[in-house]
Amino acid sequence: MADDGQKQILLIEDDPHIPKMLEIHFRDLGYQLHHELDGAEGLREALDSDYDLVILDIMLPGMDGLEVCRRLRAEKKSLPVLMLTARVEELDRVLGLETGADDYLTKPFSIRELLARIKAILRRVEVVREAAQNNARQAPLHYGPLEIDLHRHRVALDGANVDLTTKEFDLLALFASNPGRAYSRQQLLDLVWGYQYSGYEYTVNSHINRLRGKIESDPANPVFVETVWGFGYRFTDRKDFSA
Amino acid sequence: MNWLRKSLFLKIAFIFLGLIAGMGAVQMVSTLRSALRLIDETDQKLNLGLASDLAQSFQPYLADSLNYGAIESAFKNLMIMNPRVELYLLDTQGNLLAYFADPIKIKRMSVSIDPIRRLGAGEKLPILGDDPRSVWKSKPISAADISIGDQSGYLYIILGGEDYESIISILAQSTIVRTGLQIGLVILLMTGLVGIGLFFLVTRRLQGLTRAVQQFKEGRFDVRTHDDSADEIGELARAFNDMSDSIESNLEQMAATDRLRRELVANVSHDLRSPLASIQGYVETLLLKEDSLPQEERRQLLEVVYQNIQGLGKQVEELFELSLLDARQREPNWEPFPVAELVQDVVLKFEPLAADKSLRLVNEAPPGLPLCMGDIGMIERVISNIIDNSIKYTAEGGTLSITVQPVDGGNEVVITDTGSGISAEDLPHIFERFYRADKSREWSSGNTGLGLAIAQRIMQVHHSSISAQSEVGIGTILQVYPPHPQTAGLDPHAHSRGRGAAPRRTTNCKQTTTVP
Repeated sequence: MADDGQKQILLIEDDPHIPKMLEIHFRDLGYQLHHELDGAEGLREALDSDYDLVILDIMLPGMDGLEVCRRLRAEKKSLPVLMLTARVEELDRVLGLETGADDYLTKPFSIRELLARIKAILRRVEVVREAAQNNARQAPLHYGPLEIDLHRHRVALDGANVDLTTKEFDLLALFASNPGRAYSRQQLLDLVWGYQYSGYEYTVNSHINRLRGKIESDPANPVFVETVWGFGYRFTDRKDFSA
Repeated sequence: MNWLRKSLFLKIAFIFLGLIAGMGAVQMVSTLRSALRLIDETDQKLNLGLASDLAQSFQPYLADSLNYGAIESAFKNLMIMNPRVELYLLDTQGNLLAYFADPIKIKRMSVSIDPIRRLGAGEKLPILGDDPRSVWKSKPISAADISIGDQSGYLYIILGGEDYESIISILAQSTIVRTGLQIGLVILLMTGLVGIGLFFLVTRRLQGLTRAVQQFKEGRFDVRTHDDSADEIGELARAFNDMSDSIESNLEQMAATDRLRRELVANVSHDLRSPLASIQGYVETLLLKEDSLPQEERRQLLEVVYQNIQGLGKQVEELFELSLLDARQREPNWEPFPVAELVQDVVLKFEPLAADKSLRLVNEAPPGLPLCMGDIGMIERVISNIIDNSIKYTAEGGTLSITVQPVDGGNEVVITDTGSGISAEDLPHIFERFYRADKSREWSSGNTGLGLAIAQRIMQVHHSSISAQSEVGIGTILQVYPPHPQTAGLDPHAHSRGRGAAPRRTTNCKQTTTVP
């Protein structure tokens, strides 16, 4: 990927008005926009060339956007995908994320919001890349019965493997790398998801809730992910887990 | 026979009369049979000794051999004296040795000797023996041992000869049988008449019910039957009335829903048209006066257009949300979660907005609250919409208190504001779509009038509720009851149980007004 110079962004979208509009804004930010109208063509282009980000519509001729995303995820794990959709049903939103999209926006969307999301994704990619380089040298973290291997993306509780989704792992990794540090919900959203706009915040609650369900013996009285009343959440800083 | 197929009454009457006639016939036949049997028995009893008496008087003619001439004349004399007696001489195998009759009348030349043996053994009367004058008939007999020369044989007497053979002759001769049959016929006739009368009454009630159902079918939904009896037909009539009641009320409800829907469409088109009109006007102005407008003014016009578009987008999104909830296409994604934590996060989210209006947000929750059960995103929406609404209707410098407290083993989220309050007349309507207590504040204030309607619908799909109390000039209290895990999602039967488990909530489901 071209780290220096212009960011290469691929837009797969069958509405011709959108690329025209985006081009105006991308020009100012120094992003180069490539446009494909067809899902299958778009997938081929995304796989063949080097892009920093793919913006993907769900309703596409040729190949469904969700399918394009799934294939991209399978073949090019690190390529970030932002999904656009006019179908606001929750299912599509969830599917979009479970298919592996990094973020999504529903139409009609605000240009400002789209630009902010793109910036956030690109920034996050950088952070992840640096973190991965750091993690490679880092030994697994141990908190009582909990073992977190940041490098190999593995979590074990009492020696048994714990199945976490990507976001649940990211959340736990952030918490466990900074024990005792409190994060507000908005901060977690920014750091783990990169969303900066309202309407999705409850995702954090859902993920914390499910994470607790997997690593806490009593989710109603959590030991690892604690509530900081009046502020947010933190990973415990206690050292002794014998009790 | 079509008329028979169509009338239940006629059907029942026919079957009933047929049964009675059949029973009558059976009764008659059995009466006659027992009458015959009685006659036979009487005859036999009276003449039981006849054979041995006659045997004694005949024995002299049979001393050496069969003296046909003497026997015949003796038989003849006897039978003229008593025409009901027929005499036969049998050997020990039952073969006829002698008889006095026209040979043409004799149909069989041997009879079974079993009845003779039974008669000798003194078995119960009547004992019927074969009648030589018939191939199959049996008649009461009398018999006695007799010796014909050195051979032994029987004197065999058929009692109750030919004359008693027809029923009519019995009837003609037996007053008892005749009277018995007459009484039987009268009883059958009476039973038939009374039965048919009863069937007529019963089927007439059914016809009344049928008429009511038919009228109902033709659209007269106010028709009811008036059958108060406690029997099955009365029960059917009451069931019909109950069914009519519920259909009628459903129809009324549908009509009300339809009216509401029309109002909703009218409201929606009004609410969508206003921002559209303003967008159209402003954009047209921009296009027409593109060159002549100063930069600053152009920007202001565009700002207004942008605001209108955002308002429109929010409106469309909320309407969509509401219709999804109404159509039950959005079901909660149930999971147990700590509601106080969520409330805290929502309150933090609103802090900047509250700060802009110099409102104080107070969030309190005691430790050790139980988990609640629900869809995290939906419950956040409920709490957000209520806080958003309260912030809008609370004057600067006011206080908004959001408290989570335990109730009935679950949680209760109470949002209290020091806003203008809602009048008793408006309070029952605050959860209706497009209802705005302040009519002058249209959606441009950011209030689509759908927030509380959405909140209420969400709580309804959670099988729970919101209640509101308000006092003008003092403020409003809204209470939300997130379901607890025992009564919701974990249980597949939550639909029916969710409500029953929290009776207080259902009673509070309607808005209550605190009288000042």
